[in-house]
Amino acid sequence: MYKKLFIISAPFIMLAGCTMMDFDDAPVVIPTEPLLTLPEIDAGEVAPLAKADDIEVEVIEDDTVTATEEGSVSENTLYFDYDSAEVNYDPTDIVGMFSKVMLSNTDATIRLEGHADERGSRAYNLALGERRAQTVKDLMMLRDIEGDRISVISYGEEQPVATSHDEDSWQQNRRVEFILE
Amino acid sequence: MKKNFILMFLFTLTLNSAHATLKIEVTHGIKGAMPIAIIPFDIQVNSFDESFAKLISNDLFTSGFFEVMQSHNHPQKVHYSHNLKYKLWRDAGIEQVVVGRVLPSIRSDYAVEFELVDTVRGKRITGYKIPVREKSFRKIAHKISDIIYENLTGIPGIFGTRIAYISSIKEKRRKKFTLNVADMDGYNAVPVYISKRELMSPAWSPDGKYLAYVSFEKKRPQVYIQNLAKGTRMRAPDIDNSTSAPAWSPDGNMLAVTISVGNNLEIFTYEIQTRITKRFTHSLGIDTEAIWSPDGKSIMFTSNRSGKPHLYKKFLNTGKTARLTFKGIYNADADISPDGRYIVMTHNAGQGFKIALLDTKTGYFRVLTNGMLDEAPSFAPNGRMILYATEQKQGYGILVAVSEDGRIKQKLSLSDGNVREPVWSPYKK
Repeated sequence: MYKKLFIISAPFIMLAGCTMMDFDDAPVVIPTEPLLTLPEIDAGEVAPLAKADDIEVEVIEDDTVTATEEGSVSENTLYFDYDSAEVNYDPTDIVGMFSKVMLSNTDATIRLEGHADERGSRAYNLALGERRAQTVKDLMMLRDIEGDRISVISYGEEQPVATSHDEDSWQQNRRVEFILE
Repeated sequence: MKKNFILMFLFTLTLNSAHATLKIEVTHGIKGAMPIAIIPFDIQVNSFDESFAKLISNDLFTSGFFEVMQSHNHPQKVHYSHNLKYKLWRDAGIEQVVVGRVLPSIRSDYAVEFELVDTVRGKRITGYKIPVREKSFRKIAHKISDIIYENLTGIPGIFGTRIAYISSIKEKRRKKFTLNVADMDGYNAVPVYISKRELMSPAWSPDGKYLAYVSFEKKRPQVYIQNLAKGTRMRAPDIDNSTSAPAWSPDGNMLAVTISVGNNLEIFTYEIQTRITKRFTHSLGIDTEAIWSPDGKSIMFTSNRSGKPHLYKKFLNTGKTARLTFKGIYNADADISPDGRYIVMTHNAGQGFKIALLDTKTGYFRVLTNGMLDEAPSFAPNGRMILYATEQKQGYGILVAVSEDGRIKQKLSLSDGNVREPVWSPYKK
């Protein structure tokens, strides 16, 4: 995903127009007024690198988890309409499936990770991803899963699964992922 | 008498940390800009190989206020105002000339002297002698640009200011995120925080000494404040809820932050010293992206309480809330000019995401850009330039200057792929 930074500048109307003067241009030694002296400007404070907890790069683990009792890989992602946190599409009843797993495994907890597509503001998209995950949490709580077993987190647009700038990618990114813990 | 110069400069500068290049390419002539010439300075110091004239020309040109004459068109190559033949310059359409020289110095590494001269009145407008230490060339040159700019426009210059932005590198499955601080022209980029997890939403404190930002290092978004000179940082507020979108109060004592509470997202004010947190918004739906007004009396924010994201303003003393935007289907990500009059935002009216400007005094609303994925606008501290991020399909960059009637003339860009969320620093205090 490539982004460029742009600067726009906004000049105003030019200063009052010049008046033409007759001027004798014969070379004349003009006594120069002394120049003003600026105090020495120091080279500027260095901004040292803050200690990061751990800055070596790591391989990101793939967190997808199967949810069905049969053991086959199943979906763990719900998708959303643009700028919406409503669950409108759940043809395979992912919410029901994970709720069932949570009910039968009372030790299990689940993390719902909300995401948004890249369009518009990042902070707003962070909030949108959170609203999406929260909506799914509400649906699971309606199925009697205790709220303190469900954690909600948003990554906004920061973790896309598809990066072309078109509806195909955007649609894949507007999602909530279910991650059993 | 004034000629319109069509300029085709191509400068390539390099950002160290993010392998970015800065390309400036002018695509149109600039009508109504001040014609100025910066004569290459006389260098009387052996080891010195930088060009003041080139950097000053670049600065003034970038501001959009000046047409800078290329040096091969200069009718004279002199270094003292008393050597200028004013008529030659007036005939060439130039009303302001800058001359200068770099001289050895006893007290410092060298000294630079410059004079700004009015060719119409035939006299020096101003001049300075500046002692310089090694390695502060760019800082001094930017200072000279500021002096020239302010003398001729009456507006404070921004050439000594900085920008902060996030960059990311992704190689195969490894990611690295960096919060950077650079000069406003992209030079001298310094990484101030590096993380293997996402970083977002940088925000400068009003004194320019701190950056607040969002970090996912604890695996959820949380706001941190970092002291730039010391490198120390703290979580603010120090709670485990998801927190985001930090904004500083004008006195630097408080942050407005978005906190996830229960099943909702609301804006809170957080007093940094006392840690007192107060809820500020109370609506269902999303309230985020707080921005304090410069007078400290209200907070502007984005809310989708009407069904679509729009900008609102709430007063701190009365609690009264007013909606600010009505055009289009999306208005978010706002910034406010230092005088409080103008609001710049990310706007969509069905034709893609663009930067738009609202004049709160007149109500006049104007779209400034024509990209499809423009975002994150930020005002310069003199309120005269706007920095924003955009997607580009091709690799080249364009310079954008918006004249007072809103017509776009020039574009400037950092052409590294992974740069985002630029924020312009305030003036140093």
